[in-house]
Amino acid sequence: MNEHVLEEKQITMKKQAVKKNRNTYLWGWLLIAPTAIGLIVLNIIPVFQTLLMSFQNVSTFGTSTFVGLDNYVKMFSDAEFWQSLRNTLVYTVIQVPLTVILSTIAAVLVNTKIKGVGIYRVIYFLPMIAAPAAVAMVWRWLYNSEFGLINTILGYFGLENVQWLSDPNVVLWSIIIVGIWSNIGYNMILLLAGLQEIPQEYYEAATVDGAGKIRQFFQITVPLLTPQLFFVLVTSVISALQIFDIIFIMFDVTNPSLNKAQSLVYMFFNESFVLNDKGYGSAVVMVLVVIIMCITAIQLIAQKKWVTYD
Amino acid sequence: MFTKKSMKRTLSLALGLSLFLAACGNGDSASSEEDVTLTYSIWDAIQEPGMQAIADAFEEENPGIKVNVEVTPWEQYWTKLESSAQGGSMPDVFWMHSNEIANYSEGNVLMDLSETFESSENVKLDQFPEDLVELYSADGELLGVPKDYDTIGLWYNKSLFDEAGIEYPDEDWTWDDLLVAAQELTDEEAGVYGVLAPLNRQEGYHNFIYQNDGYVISEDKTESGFRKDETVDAVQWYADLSVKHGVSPTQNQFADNSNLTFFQSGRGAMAFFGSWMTAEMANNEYTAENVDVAPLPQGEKQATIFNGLANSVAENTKYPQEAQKFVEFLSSEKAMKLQGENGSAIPALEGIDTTFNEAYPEFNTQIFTDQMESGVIKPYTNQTTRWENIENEQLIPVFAGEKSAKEVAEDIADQVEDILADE
Repeated sequence: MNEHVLEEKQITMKKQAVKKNRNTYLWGWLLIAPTAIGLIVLNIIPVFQTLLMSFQNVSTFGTSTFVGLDNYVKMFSDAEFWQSLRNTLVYTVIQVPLTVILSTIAAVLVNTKIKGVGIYRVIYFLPMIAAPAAVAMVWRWLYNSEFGLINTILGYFGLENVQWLSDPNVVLWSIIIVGIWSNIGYNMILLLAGLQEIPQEYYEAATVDGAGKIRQFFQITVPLLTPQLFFVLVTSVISALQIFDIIFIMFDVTNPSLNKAQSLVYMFFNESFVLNDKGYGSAVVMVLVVIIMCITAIQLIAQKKWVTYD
Repeated sequence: MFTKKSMKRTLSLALGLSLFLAACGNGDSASSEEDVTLTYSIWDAIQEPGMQAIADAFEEENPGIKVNVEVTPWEQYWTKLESSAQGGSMPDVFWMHSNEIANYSEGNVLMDLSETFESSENVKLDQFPEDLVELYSADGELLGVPKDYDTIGLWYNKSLFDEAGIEYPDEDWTWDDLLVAAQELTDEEAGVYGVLAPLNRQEGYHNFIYQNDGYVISEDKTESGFRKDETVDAVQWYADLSVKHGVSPTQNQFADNSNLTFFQSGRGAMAFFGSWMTAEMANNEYTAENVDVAPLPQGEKQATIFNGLANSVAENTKYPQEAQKFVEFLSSEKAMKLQGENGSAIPALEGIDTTFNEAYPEFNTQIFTDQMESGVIKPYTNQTTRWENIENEQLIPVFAGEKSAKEVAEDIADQVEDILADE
């Protein structure tokens, strides 16, 4: 075989490789296209539109005018904004840890071999498949200070009526309770999947070595569950920061305690769609986007310290 | 099991999903060549039977044109209409409200109907309440034709009045009569209140402001009425029903149970509700039996807030002629009668309004049409919802008894006038 032929062969092989490579890329793009297009059209483009609107005075149908940072300046001197931001952060700081802890406990409990474990799993998961608006409506009835079930039960124990929906010191807790209740099920299922991946041998070995159940939980279960815990934590923080429907359904605009309950997304909705000031509403929601991005980025960095992957 | 890489991907996806806002457009419904189908969009399910009856009558008179009555609840109606306007797929004919008309008229998305009605033989515009025609007109263009009007009444529980041995309210009642009766009717132990006075504008203190010779917005729409003592005093008097006299539940109590709940469970002897609530009262077993309605009490003078809806046509409708024909029919005597007889709402057409009373023989609904004489149109400007929001926010502490109306009046006036100046 002379050199010339060898060279030619190499070139054809290279060409084939390039072609094959190109083919792979094409298929790759084709396969992600439906999701990617949906994401771009429904999420990414609107994000930039919202960003643009936050610098504008938006008229509903007509032309919008640029107002620079006016919306942001107005926002930072708006007491309502700071109160909403505070409510949102307090809600997140309390709701997320409680939800994660309770759903971990629930996951461990429904992972045991007890009778009717399927029924328990369904019961825990039910809040997740119910429409949030319907859930909030039912809770509104439960919370009713005069006829509500909760106060009736408290009454049996001789406790005083709680103004769940109108006492400014209580309203945020009312929302937190509903928030925890409706999120435990979903997180529990994610954690349950993780629990079932942990090999039984570890526990057997630990038992042989004389480790009790509690020690096993903290030294085997928790470390091996960290990938799921991390995922649950990140998504919980994001959804907690976006709390809206519970507040929207449970509180009327004339409720004296609304300002102690309203979240940033509630304020965004109110400004954008009720008061028709889309520019200002966009500015409010941009702050939320930045907060969520920062917190999530921090979590992504911090995970290296505590999440163990196989 | 999650791997680190897939975890990162999932997370960046979650990050992306955390950003929202979606624009949506509706597809146009295709129509066959001969038949034209018009969409008539409304928000009140209670009025659906009446509107359907009108649509049926129209279809009968106009073979080849079909009308679909489409109900979207108020909460979603405006967001839906707005995005359909931006997407160029508005319903052909739809209800319009005084809070929103300015927005839509600025957007140039409504058809000018003035020519249709100037040349119309069966409908004359001067047969409709002048204020309403003006409300739905802009720059000489008629952007909506009044459909109905509504006024506010003093609803009372006959059984509770009988038990207390007090005479029913009548047209001579004054504010003092109301307060005295409310005090006698209040029974704290039984949890019964003499009157229900929640923080509510149209069905609440706005009526009292005008009865006291005050106003909410000046006629030239540049000044807030909260600089006038008449306005401030009226608001305080109304708020005091709960704050000072305790004859009404507090605003905190209304957060749990609406005034309608109180009234329908026999725990409120008197309440202010608009004429549009008549069907609700008739459909509820308790109120159908036990309640009736009287004119609002008078202060310095008699006054009630009145308002009305209109029918509008989309500027870019595919069937302009058919849509105009339908809106002309909606305003005709025949359709107005159907509206009244079905008890949907008080017809806006002069002389036909009383047909509404025939639909509800159990109540003295005549007071609604009689009160039109002292009717004051619901205050409106181009930015109604914005200054209404200011009023609401500022008055919450007044209704909680933390501040007096006088203390917040200047703030309200300043902020409202800022908005008016921007218009």
